[in-house]
Amino acid sequence: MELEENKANPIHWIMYLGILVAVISPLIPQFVWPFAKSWFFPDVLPSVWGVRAWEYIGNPNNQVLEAVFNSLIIAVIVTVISILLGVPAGRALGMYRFRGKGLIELLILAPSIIPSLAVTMGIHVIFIRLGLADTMFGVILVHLIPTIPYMTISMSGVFANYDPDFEEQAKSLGASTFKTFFLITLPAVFPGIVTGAMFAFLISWEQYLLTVLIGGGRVLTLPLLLFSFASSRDNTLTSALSIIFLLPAILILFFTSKFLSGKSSGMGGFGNI
Amino acid sequence: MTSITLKNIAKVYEGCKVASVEDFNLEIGPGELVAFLGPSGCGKTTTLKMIAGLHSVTDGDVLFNGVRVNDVKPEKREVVMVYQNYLLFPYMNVAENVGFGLRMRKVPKPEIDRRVDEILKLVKLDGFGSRSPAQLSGGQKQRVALARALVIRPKILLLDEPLANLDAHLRDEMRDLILSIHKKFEVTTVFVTHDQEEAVLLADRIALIFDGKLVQYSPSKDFYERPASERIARFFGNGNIIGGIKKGTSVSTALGECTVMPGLEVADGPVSLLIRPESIRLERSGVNSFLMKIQKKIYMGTYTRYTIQSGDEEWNTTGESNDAPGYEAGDKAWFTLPPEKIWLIKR
Repeated sequence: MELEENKANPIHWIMYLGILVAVISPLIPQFVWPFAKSWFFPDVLPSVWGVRAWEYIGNPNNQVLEAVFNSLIIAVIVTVISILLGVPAGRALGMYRFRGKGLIELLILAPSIIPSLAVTMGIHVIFIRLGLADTMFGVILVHLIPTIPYMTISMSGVFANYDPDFEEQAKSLGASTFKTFFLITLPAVFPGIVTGAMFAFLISWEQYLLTVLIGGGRVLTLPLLLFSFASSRDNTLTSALSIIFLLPAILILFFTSKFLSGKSSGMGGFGNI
Repeated sequence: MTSITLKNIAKVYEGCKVASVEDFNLEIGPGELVAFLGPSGCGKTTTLKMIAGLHSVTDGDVLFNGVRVNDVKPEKREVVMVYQNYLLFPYMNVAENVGFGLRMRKVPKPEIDRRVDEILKLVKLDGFGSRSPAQLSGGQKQRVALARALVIRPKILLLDEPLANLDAHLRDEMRDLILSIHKKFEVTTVFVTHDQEEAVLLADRIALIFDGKLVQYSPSKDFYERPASERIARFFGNGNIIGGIKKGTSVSTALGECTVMPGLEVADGPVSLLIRPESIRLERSGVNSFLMKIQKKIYMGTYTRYTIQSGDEEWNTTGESNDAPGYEAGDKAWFTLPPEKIWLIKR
């Protein structure tokens, strides 16, 4: 019986294939469109090929590179701040018991529960008064609303499984507080930090609503550009941009599955690809 | 060698009203091997961590060789603690784990390698240096943890429940290893345990702790023969206790008049009379002999245990296999309480 279960079952293979087709097939036109000059029904492939989209993207006058650069800067800063605030907060929530902990957990979750449109309208009014609306700094601040809770909660899970006695042991063997952190604490929670950070990056990278409301169209990011091209029905350009848009997600998917699966802290990526 | 003095130390955890450790005084001589014994939650690990500097003292002083070390950081105290669950760093191999303390002391690499090899040989793990902790058995992990602590030549070695997680045959091995290490390194050693047998097996002296207070500190033999209270007597498996009124060398009890030795430092009046099961003799003699009914007989292998009823208390007595005349439950038999084996506690 056991041996038979280990054998490749044809039904399993059909199911895997089905899932693969369902996930990948909608993406196929996405990778063909950017190279199409004219492509009409019922042709399977474009009748005329071309690289117009890539020329447009590469031209510095067309704001695409600027948008990619803005998205990247915002996402990196947001990720770094989320790590700096989320890791200590996650440690406190995961390892210590203190008065009002339940309330704090609820408050951290609140931005994810309340519709972000409602929250952001309120924030917008305040940001206008503070002069933060329509600025990149304001956009960074508002992106932190979903990313810090994400980082904090995922780190609190990592720290809940972490034994602080390891730190005491290192100290008793003569390690300073500084060395204890870098040699003992950090390696133990590092896979958790990396995973949390990558998702914080993605949340910021893909953010449309918060950017458009607080940035007011002045802070141009990739999702904003993508939406405007999509509504103008330029399939060639939209598809080319969405490939760039997809790139970090695909890189992160491969990175987590290659380097983090099966390692400590229970943050296991997406299995082995 | 280092002596440890604990002077009126107390620990109150933040948010706790009750002190975990209170008014604790103890003197541990240089090179001594001392056990902190007590039920779980009595404050023994807290006290150990205060010696290590991992917990601050709320009140009182910790002194090493007469020098106050309250404000010395744990990493500067030269005191190493070995935890019950070993805490080997999982992303370092055995040699890196053992060499950790030396690296922290900036010892040159070739010397680290040499000393790590040497100590691994001592704990009979030579050749294990490149293994990962996950590949080791419980006993091997414990030996690595011990090697990691000893390699830095600490002034004081602290062990938290060193035999608790080991199988019976590994316990004997580990006990011998700890004793031989203690002898070889002449390091002042304190260990924590909740098991009186473990304490007796290892320690020169036992500090018995109940509810954060030191109740008795003496060589292990005294706990069996001269316990300071009924609770201590029961903790050490000495359940034969009967109340009585002492008058001179005689105590009147529910059994009858018992003669006791003259030199006992207990005033006349109400007392508890204690005798260990193995001290009771199954024979008739001139003094303290009583004819009683056997309630239960349990064959224990190397000895037989008889239970007899006296008043409300059940008494246990053991007859050695060769002199047990083979009584059965329900038989009546003579029991003798030798006066020199009787210990009295004031009620």
